[in-house]
Amino acid sequence: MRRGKLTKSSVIFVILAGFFVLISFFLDQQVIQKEDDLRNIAIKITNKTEKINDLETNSTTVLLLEDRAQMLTNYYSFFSTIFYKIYLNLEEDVDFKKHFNNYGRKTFIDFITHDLNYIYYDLEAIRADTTKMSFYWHDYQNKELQDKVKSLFLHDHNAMKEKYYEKILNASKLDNLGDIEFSSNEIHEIYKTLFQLNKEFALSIVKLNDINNYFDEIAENETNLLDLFLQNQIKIKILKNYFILGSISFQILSLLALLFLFRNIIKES
Amino acid sequence: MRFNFTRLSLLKFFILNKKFKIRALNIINLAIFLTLFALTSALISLFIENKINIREFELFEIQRKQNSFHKARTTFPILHKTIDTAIEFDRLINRFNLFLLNTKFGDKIISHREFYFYRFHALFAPTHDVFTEYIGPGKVISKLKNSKPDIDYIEDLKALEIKSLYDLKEITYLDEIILVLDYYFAFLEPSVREEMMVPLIDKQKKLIEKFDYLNKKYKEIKKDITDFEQYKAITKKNLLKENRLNTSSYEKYEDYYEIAWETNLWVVDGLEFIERIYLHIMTIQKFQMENLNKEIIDLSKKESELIYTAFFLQLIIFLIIQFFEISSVTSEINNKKKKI
Repeated sequence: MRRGKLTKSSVIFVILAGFFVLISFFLDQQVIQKEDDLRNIAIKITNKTEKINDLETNSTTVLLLEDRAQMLTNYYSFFSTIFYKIYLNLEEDVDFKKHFNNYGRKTFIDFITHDLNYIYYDLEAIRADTTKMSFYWHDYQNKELQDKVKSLFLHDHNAMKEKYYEKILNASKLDNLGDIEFSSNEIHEIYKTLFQLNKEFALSIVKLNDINNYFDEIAENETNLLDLFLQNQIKIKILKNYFILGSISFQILSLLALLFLFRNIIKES
Repeated sequence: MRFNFTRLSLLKFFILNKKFKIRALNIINLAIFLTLFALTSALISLFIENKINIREFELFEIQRKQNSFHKARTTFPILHKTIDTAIEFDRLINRFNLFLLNTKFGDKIISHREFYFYRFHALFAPTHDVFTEYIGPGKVISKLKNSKPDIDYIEDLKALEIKSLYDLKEITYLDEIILVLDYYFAFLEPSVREEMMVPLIDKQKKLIEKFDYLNKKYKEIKKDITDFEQYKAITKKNLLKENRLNTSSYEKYEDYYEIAWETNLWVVDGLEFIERIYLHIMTIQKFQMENLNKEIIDLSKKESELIYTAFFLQLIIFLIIQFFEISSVTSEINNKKKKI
C-alpha cells in the first residue's frame, strides 16, 4: 500500500505535538520530583516540630524549677537570722527572756534545727526531681553547660547532716522534748550551715537562668529553621501545582496539534 | 500479526472517505473546540491559582504568627503566679515583722536588715528576667521601641482619623501598637472614641516611661549590691548589737525595696499590657484571615465564572466558524458534483 506524504504544515503539527508531549513528560517528572521533595521536607518538619516541642518543654520546665527554687530560697532567707537572733537574745539578755515562757528557748532551737532538716529535705527533693526531668538528660554540646546541669542543687554537707540528723529527729519526738540539748556552738554551726545550704538554691537559680537561655536560644533558631521549612513546603506545593497545570496544558496543546494535523490531512485530501 | 489500528492508512481510509469527510471535519472541529476550551480553562486556573497561592501564603504566615502568640500566651498565667506568690509572701513577712516590731522586745529583733534587706532580695531576684533576659516584658517593649512601623497598620490608623494623638511621620512601632490596641474603638463616634482613647493611651505611655525609669534604677542597684550578699551569715556579735536604730548600712535597702516592689507591680501591669497587645493583634489577624479566606472563596467563584464565560464565548465562535466552514465545504462538494 502506498503511504501518503505529509505536507509541510502537517510535519510542523507532528513536530509540535511531539514537542508538547516531551514538555508534558518533563513537567510530569518535575511533579514526581517535587512530590519527593515534599515528602522529605514533611519528614524534616515533623522532626523539627518534635525537637522544638522538646526544647520548649525543657525551657518551661527550667522556668518552673527556677520559680520553685526561688520560692524556697526566699522562705529560708526570710527566717535565716530572726530565729537565731531571738535565740541569742534569750541566751544573753535576762530582760529579753522575761517576754517568753519556759518553752521559748526550746521553740526557737527547734525552729533553727528543724530548718536544717527541712532545707536538706528540700535540696534533696528538688535535686531528685531535677534528675528525672528531660532537660537533665539533654545532650548539651557545651561542656560548661553540661557541668552546670549536672551540678544543680548538689550540696556537700553530708558530714554535717550525719552529725545532727539523728539528734534533730530525736529532739522532734514529744517524749524527748527538752531532753536533748543543743549547745550554743552547735546552734551557731547549724545557723551558718543554713546559710551555706540556702546559697545552693541561689547558685542553682543562676545556672537555671543560663540553661533556660540556652533552650530559648536554640528553640528560637530551630523555630526559624522550621519557618524556612514550612515556607519551602508551601513554595514546593505551589510549584508542584504549577507543574501539574503546565503538564495538563502541554498535553492539551499536543492534542490540539494532533487534531490540527488530522484536520489538515482531511482538508488536503 | 500487525495491529492495524496503529496504521495511519486505516485512519486515512476512514477520514479520507468522501462519505465521512464532513462528519470527520465536524468531529475534529468539535474536538478542537473542546481542546481549546480545556486549554483556556487550564490557563484561567493557572492565573487564578497564582492569585490564590499568594493569599494562601499570606494566610499561612498569619496562622504561624497566631500559633506563636498562642504559645506565648500560655506562659502568662505562670508569670502571674510567680509575681502573685512573691507579693503575697512579702505581705505575710511584712505582717510578721510588724507584729514583732510592735512587741516590747521588737526593737531588739527587727532592724532595717530584717525589715527590708531579705524582702528586697526576694522581690529583686525575679525582676532580673524583666530587664536583662532573653524574654520577658522588658525585652518585648525594647523590641517594640526599636522596630519600624508597619505600613499596613499606619493605613489602618489613618482610617481612624485621630490626628490629635499622633503625627504619622514620627510614629514608632510602639505608638502604633498602642493605637492598634484600641482599634475596636474605630466603631465608635470620633468624639467618643477620642474621649475614651486618650486616657487609655496616656496610661500605656506612662507604663512605657515607667519601664525606662525602673530599668535605670535596676542597673544602679545592681552596681551597688554584691552577688549572694543575702547568703552571708551575720556574726553573733553583730546580731546582738543590731537593733532598729543601729542598722545604718542597711538603710539604703528601704529605697531598693520600694523599687523592687514597684517593679513587681509594674510587671503585673506590663504583662496585662502585653496580653492586650497579643489579644488585639490576634483579633486583627483574625480579621485579616477572614478577609483572606473570603478573597480565596471569591477567587474560586471568579475562576468558575470565567471558565463558564470562556465556554460560552468559545461556543459562539465555534458555531460561527462551523457555519462558515460547513457552508464552504458543502458548496465545494456541490461544485465538484456539477463538474462531474
